[in-house]
Amino acid sequence: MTSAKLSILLFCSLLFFGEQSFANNTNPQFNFDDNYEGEEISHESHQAIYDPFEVVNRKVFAFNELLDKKVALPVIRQYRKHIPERVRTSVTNLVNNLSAPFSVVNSLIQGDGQNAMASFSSFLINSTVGVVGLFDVAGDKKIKYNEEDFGQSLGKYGSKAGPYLVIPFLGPSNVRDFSGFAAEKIISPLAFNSFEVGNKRDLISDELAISLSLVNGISIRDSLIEVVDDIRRNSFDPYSTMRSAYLQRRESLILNK
Amino acid sequence: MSKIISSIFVFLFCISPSFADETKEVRNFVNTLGNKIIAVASDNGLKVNQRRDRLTNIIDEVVDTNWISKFVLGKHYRVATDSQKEKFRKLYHDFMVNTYGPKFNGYNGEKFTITNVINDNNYYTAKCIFYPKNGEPDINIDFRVRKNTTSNQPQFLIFDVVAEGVSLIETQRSEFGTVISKDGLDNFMIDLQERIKKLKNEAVQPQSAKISSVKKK
Repeated sequence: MTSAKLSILLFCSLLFFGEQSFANNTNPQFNFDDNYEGEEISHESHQAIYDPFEVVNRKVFAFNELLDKKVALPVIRQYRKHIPERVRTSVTNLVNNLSAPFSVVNSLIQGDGQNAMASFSSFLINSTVGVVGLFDVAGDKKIKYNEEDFGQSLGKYGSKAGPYLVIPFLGPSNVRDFSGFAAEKIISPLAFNSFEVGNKRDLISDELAISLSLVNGISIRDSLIEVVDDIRRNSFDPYSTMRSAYLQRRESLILNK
Repeated sequence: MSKIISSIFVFLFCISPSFADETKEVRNFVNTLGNKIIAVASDNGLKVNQRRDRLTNIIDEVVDTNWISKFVLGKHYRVATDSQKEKFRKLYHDFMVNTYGPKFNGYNGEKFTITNVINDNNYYTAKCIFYPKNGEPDINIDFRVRKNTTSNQPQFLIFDVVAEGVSLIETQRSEFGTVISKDGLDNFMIDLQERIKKLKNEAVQPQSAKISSVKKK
């Protein structure tokens, strides 16, 4: 697919999803009267959990949990044991820097010029002075930005989360966020790369693309180790805790709270 | 017309200082509380269990477990009998203080700042940033605070903690709701009782020792 066709497709999907107004940014209201009987939160942007595929999702969740305990956690343990902290920080910086251009584009889609500028500056500084992103020089200089992805852009334009999904190997998501994720992977020069640059599509080798994805996965899982551990230890139903936490987190990222 | 405008101004002048004062009070409340917790959590002169007990007491004083116990039961609250409600209220209280008191036990004196206090109609949100020591990213935590005016001495109470956009009470409501719908309230309360027993046993064999051994690996 040529880049022009893909751009049109993305634009149309944005229009399709964006038929509703911008996401509302108000805080929930609570009832503190003595006669309060546990009623729902009154909150315009509060969405009830919609999980029509719960039976399948729970099975995938169980599969992911097993995979996580048997494969991912041992890898992370070795990663933490053998790789010094400063190197791990550099890996996280590198992965974050590679995703910065997406934040630039999505900030522009969302009309957030300030964040677009901040993420662009960060990418420029870290890719050069920060040695291809290994050092977060921009962050040290207090250039901070919110990471924005296509799922958030869709949400900003009023697209509802849709059914909750648990994706094999990847974890919690929903129709909106997974569509955004897939769209980014399709156009990303570091993933499937559907853009043709100078009649060339294979900007990087498949091996490098897979390695980057794995490093990205390890880095993300590493950052979540305490949170997931806490849920596993304390929750009466880890599936619903993870679901609620994921959906709330995504809503707050869309609203940039 | 001018009378209306001037009366609006008078009204605004009367009302805004009280809001401003209360916002300041909330800031002081959260600040004092945070410093108190950090002081106890990083006091090496105390034994682990002593620290744990003190932290549990601090949490007990300021967290509005009575109100939260209604909120987290949600739709199941209305259909519960009075004795179930009362039993759950007590169990939830024990669950909360024994789960969240010890969490601060491993806290190693990392500092925090209150960036803003917002008045959200009938409660306040104190927005805070915590700075971990080991170069990990900053953590945004909001404390939702309300003034309890029903008691003789009005006091501030924390009724929710929102970490990186995830509300503690909303998550618990969702989690508890799923389990109660499946197993019923009475069975859930048996599970809750078991959990509290386990948490209290951990007090004898402190969890913080386990955490530090994991980190050393």
